[in-house]
Amino acid sequence: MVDVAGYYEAISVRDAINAYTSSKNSEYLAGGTDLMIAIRAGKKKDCHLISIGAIEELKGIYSTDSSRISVGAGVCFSEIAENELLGRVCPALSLASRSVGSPQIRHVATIGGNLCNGAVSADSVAVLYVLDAELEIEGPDGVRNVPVTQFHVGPGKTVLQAGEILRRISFNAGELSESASYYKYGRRKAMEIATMGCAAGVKLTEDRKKIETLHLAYSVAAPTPIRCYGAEESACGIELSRKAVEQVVSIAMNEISPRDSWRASKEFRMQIAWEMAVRMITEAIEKDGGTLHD
Amino acid sequence: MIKEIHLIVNGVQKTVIASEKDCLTDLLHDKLGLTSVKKGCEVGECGACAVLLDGKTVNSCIYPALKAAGHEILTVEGLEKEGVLHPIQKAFVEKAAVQCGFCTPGMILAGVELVNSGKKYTREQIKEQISGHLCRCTGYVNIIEAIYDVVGMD
Repeated sequence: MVDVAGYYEAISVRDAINAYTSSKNSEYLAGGTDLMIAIRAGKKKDCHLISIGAIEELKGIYSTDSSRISVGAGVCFSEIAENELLGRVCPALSLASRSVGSPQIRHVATIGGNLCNGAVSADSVAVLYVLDAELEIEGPDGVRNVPVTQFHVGPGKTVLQAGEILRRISFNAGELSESASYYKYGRRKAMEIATMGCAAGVKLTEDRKKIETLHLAYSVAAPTPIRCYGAEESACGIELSRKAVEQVVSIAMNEISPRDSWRASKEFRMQIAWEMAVRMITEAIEKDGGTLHD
Repeated sequence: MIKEIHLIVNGVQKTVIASEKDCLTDLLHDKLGLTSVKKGCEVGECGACAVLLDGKTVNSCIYPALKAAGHEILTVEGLEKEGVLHPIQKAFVEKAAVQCGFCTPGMILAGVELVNSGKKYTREQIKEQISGHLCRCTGYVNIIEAIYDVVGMD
């Protein structure tokens, strides 16, 4: 039994928003794998659940034109992990999706819920930040688009206003998305909240000898997920050597601010942040057809 | 808010009275008497409550009962057919994969999901499949061997 005061199964986004604004203590329920636990912990007393899990507008993974990919916020992680299109255009997203919880969780938990829960440790965020994903949000006042890199504003806090629903997550398919590499550091292989996550994607020059563009992102290395723009800027035009990559990563180390907690000390987090960035940038370079020399 | 919902449980159409306060575990265990569905942690971590919903394993303890309306549920009670055990059940018996039995229903359904896929699996993949199921008794080896016996790559 759970402390819930109402349940409504919405049939469309508009229907859900209307239901949300007409009840008190409304909570959107997608998969529920975060929300139901919060409810059991007594955090959402007497909430009215507006279930958005069956809304068709929030489903589906497709390309809108040759290189723009759209993922429904209501798509569950096991579907993302097995999706052929995503496996081709962004295998890092498939990998990140497979790292969520357990099979039972993945069959129900949605990528939209993962983002909207606002956790800095969300398994999908680092890759989405590297992709510069765009979020399509609908609320009582209409539709707006927010870059994922501007979505998080504080620990557990997003820019979502009351009643707003994340509808779709879009990104460009290309060398950055295909080369994107992700590492989730945790003490267990499953059922684990990341101690830290690191994602990197690159676009090399035509001759495959230099970096043209680097995107580097972390989860759990700051109060919100972050991109290391300073490190990225310093990476433009660098040759593909381990030394050059390490120089880029040392700049990133000044951009992150991991904390001390029971899960890991700050010193340990700095160490793994370094190691993960070096590995993920190297992996991205190799995936994009480059070779790192010493 | 009390509602009458319709769902298919172990192949049979059921009409059940449920409220927004019920989780799927309450519905299956308490209202339908399917005692194989167990409350272990009630926060979706241990897998003791796992059932197959539309063929996929889900933790029923964090699945609202009303959300299950219109869906198809399979529990361990629905596996045996006319006195014949499901291959996974048989393998669990033969490989001594059961001690206290509390994790067993969830583990068995995890195995059944793999059987239903029609594919073959490595031991590593089987470990990933049961990664959301905790066992305090067996040390997992016999459980993995039992599932491997049925769906393992030879």
